[in-house]
Amino acid sequence: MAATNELLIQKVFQEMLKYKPSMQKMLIADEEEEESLDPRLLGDLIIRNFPWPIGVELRRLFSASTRQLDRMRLDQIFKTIERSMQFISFVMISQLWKDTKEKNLVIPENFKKEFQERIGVLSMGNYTWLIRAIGNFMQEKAVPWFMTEMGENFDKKFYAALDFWVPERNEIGHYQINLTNEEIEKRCVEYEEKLGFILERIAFISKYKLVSVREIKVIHPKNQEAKFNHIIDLLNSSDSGFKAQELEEAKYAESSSVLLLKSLKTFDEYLNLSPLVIDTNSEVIDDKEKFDIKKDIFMYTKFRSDQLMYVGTEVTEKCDLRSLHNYQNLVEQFKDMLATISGS
Amino acid sequence: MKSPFKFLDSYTKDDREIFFGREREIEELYHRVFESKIMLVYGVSGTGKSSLIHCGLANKFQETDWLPIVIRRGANIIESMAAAIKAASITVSQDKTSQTVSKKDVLSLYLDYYKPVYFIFDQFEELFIFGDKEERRAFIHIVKSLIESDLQCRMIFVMREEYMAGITEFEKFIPTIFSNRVRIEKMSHRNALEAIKGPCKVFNINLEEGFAESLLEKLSPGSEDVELTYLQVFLDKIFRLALEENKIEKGADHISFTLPLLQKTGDVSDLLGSFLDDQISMMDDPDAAMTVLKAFVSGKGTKRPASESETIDNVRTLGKEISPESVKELIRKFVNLRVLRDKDDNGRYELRHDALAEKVYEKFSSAEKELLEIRQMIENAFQYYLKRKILLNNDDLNYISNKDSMLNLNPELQEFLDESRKHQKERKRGIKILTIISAFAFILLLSTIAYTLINRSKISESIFLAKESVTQFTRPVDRLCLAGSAWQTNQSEEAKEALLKAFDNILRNPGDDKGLIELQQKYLIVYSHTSSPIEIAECSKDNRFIYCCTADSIFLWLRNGLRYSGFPHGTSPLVYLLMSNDGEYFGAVNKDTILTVWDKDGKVKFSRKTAYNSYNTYQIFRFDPANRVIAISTYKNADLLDINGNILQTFDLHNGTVNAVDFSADGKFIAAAGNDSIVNIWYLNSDLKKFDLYNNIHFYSDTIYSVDFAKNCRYILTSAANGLIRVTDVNGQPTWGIRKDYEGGLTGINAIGFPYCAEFDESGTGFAFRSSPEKNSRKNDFMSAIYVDIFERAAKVGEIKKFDYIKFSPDKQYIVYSNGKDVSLISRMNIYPISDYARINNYRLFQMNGQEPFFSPDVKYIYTINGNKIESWFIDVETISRIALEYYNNWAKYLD
Repeated sequence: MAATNELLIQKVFQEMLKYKPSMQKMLIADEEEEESLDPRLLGDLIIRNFPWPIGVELRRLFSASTRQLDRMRLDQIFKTIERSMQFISFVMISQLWKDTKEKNLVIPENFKKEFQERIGVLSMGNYTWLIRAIGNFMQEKAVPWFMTEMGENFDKKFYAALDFWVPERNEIGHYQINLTNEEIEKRCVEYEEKLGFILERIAFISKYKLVSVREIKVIHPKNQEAKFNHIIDLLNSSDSGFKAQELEEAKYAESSSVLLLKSLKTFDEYLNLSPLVIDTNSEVIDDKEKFDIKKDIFMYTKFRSDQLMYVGTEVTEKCDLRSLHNYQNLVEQFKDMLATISGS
Repeated sequence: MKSPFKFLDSYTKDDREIFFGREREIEELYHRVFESKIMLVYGVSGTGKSSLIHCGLANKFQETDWLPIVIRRGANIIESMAAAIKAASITVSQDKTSQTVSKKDVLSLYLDYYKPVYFIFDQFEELFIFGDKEERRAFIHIVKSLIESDLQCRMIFVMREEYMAGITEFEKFIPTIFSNRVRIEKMSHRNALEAIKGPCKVFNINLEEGFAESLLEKLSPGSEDVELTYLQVFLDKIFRLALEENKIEKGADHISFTLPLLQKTGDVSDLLGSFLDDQISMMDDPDAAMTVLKAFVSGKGTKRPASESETIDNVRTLGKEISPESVKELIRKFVNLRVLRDKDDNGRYELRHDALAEKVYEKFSSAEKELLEIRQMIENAFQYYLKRKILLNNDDLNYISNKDSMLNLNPELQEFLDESRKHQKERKRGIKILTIISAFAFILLLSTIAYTLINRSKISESIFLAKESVTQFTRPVDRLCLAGSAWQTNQSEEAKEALLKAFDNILRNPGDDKGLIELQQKYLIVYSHTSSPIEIAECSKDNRFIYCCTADSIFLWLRNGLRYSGFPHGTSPLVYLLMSNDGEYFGAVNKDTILTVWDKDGKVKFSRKTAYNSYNTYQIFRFDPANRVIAISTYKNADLLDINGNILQTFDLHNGTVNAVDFSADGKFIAAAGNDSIVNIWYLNSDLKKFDLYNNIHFYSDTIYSVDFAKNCRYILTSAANGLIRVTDVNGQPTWGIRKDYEGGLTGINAIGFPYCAEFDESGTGFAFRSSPEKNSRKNDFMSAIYVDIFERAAKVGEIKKFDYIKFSPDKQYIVYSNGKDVSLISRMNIYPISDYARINNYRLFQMNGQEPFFSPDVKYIYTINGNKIESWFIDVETISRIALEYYNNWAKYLD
């Protein structure tokens, strides 16, 4: 019998390789040093090649503390699947928002209504609805995906696989039924396999880069074209010490935002995930009221009474982000998204 | 019933339920720990720093996000860190004996757990109290390499604020070390109330109304802050009193803290002092007991971990004779009395808290303090001696004076001390002898000056004769005789010029004279032609061979001109060719970046890929005296190889491409320089037979293209892309430097440009460099040379200071250079009196044909490359003058 995580890692890695063959290079052992390949690196490569919100949950799932087939592992599997669905649905919403604005897509009334109801409070059920509904709508309208691989991977089988998790999460994840240790062990094995299927289907994300734009500097020498120096953090990482990079471009991207890029070499094609995914790392804590702001990548969860609520990815506890310098801006953006998609 | 109060211990992760009053600090730590890879936590003793980390911060993290590795210095911080990593690792390291920390070990630890690793250096001040400079330096480099890597690890340094100044040593290498720091303040009254009430509630202890407030008032009357150590000791004392008072047996779970109980505690102004006195007075021999406790205190009044045997040694230092058995017995008693903490994994005991150490320190006499400091100094110096073989110096010995008799040192330390004294004695004797010799030398100098003045007229005569030899006579034998006469009159530069020119004239045109033909046969060495033009040529360092390469082959001749071997090197042209010091092996790098090593018969020993920048192709690899090879490897690394190409060690501290490597002449140092503007220096650890990092020098602000050791192994010469040439000692102390706008001799059109390779001459008092007027280029490149006698001088001929090729002779006498196809020998200026012309110029002695000239190591010959052949030029003035004088004495025979 394979060790915990082993099959999952093998399968997802093989799938990632199809989309990003260069990952194989990272595994070539140095023949001159007569070293053998360290198989443990596969897991790390998977973590690094998924965007941070998914990668960090996978790191927790692979960690030594969740290798026993127990309740802790079961909960972590739920967290991993939930965060993966959350991220995918945010990518899809961001594209729908952008395309509706730019290409004047006409969204059906029933979709608008349900979208407005569901986006207010997010849950696993709402993620599956969002993924399926946006997926079907885009397919129907033959709108090309930003992540082109979504078309071939997001089929009925995939949606059905997502549906599986909703009742399981409601019953088991929320402790509505008590499970014996044996039952938990069995579920851990079963869920690992099912999680593997979802991760294989979204393995194409490894082709894309998630970045946070900290700052954009304008460099405009006399009698020359202006250039824009983007200072970005690469959010594909196995810990939150994100690597900073500078990119000089003739065009400029959107500042203080989290972007999904097709390539790190250019900003020609990107999808802005703000305000659904935000980065507080560059926030200057210059006021007493800001002391409670945690530095992290946050994911949107709720919109109530004109207030946005988020959940951290590294810092998993609640955090009040209302004192962020651009908080009002985020609220305005969110309202714009609501108005664009649901017309309200 | 177990006490819920910690007495003198820190809180641990399991104490979450009883850890109160520190919410704000915990939040701040949790917030800051993500800010950067290093966090500094500091504060005065007794503010609860360790508890905040091990309990407060640890419980903020999810299980999956926190792998704490707690490290105390022990005997050596690096060894302790390596041991802690090893102990936590699931996957066993291949190098089981390693006592250092590599990035590989940390990566492996992360991959074992998939949790970010947090290295927690608790009581970090111990590194500054007990560690020496070398330990700190090596540790700084490990910290730097780990935080600059993309490894999933962070570091938390927990220390007393009195020792924060020590961190400035880190700042030089890690400029951001101070930027993420948290100061832990003493606990406020308000929070202290929570720290009393919280645990009492958890443990179901009844608190009488006003008890907590009265306790704090009694403990620190009128103060806003509370000393946490004292609070815990006090609460523990009250708890024990309450147990006694209520006569509750073990297992009972209900007691009360009342105001009358508080009154019974009596005076608490010196809680720890009286606790200590109580424990000591209960011992059979209080004096011996106190001495044993003193053995656990450092010269700074802090805790000093010690094993049983170290404690026995320390006790002896304090001048007390206590049997080892009694020491061990006392240690056990103090452990039971909660004064000492039980031994750790390294077998070391320590006082439970620095506050106790302070109390014990108060009992030291000033003589004992001094003895303790002396002992600490000797121990540190001994550790340094074990690694570097450096004995105590005179100042150290004066400080120790004769107090070692009172220290009762163990045999090992005593022997070290004796050896140091012996060495200093010999040194003093040496200085005495040197002084006497200097006095003689001074007298000799005066005599020489007098002699020079007397012979001044002889100089003029010699110059006259030499000029006649060169210009007035045409017959070779006449010229030689006249030159011999000039030399006999005075050994001037002009006479030397005349001798060299006359003798070469004879070797090239001996005519029919049998004697002269014999001279030609003896001194003009002819080397066979090669099939294609020679590209690189040199003489082996052992003076046995001349070797060269053409576009496709390598050739080797004996010095007498006999060809020894010739073999193909492949189709890719060579960019560099070098013979090992013993003349047994060749090494070469071709344009396809392949390094190949052959034996002298042409048998391939190994081939491997290397990497080099296209500018400096002259320092890609080097041989050491034992025929090991240091070579730039493919990526940011340099490898040490044996002669069969097996990797002995990899050097991987660079963050950019490595551009140059070098061995010191004794093979004990290795230097590597690269694009990261750093020169790393490694030193051979003869015990482990591995090179340890000795120093890294990074005050350069640009790519370093070349590095070269001086012959004495003490200095390195570097050239950087910003046009800076610099001489630095191996400890990083700059001693000399010039940059592209250098004004000392190479200005304007002669500016040194952007040197991409600089190398010392054999004596280490001069260097030649290759340079280009353009940055990061070899376009229009040239060579120049600079050397030092009593002044710093540029090698020049008239106003020309840039050459196609230039070399110093190993004996410091000459410089040879080529421009186009002309090769010239010039005199390296010295301070002896010569003509005015020579005084402002390097004296030009002799002209030859060819290119890229080089000297034989015995400086008897110069060789030049001339198309498909190597030409030899005999320049041994001693031999030539002897021959010339023989002819001069028989000149009459040759006169018409």
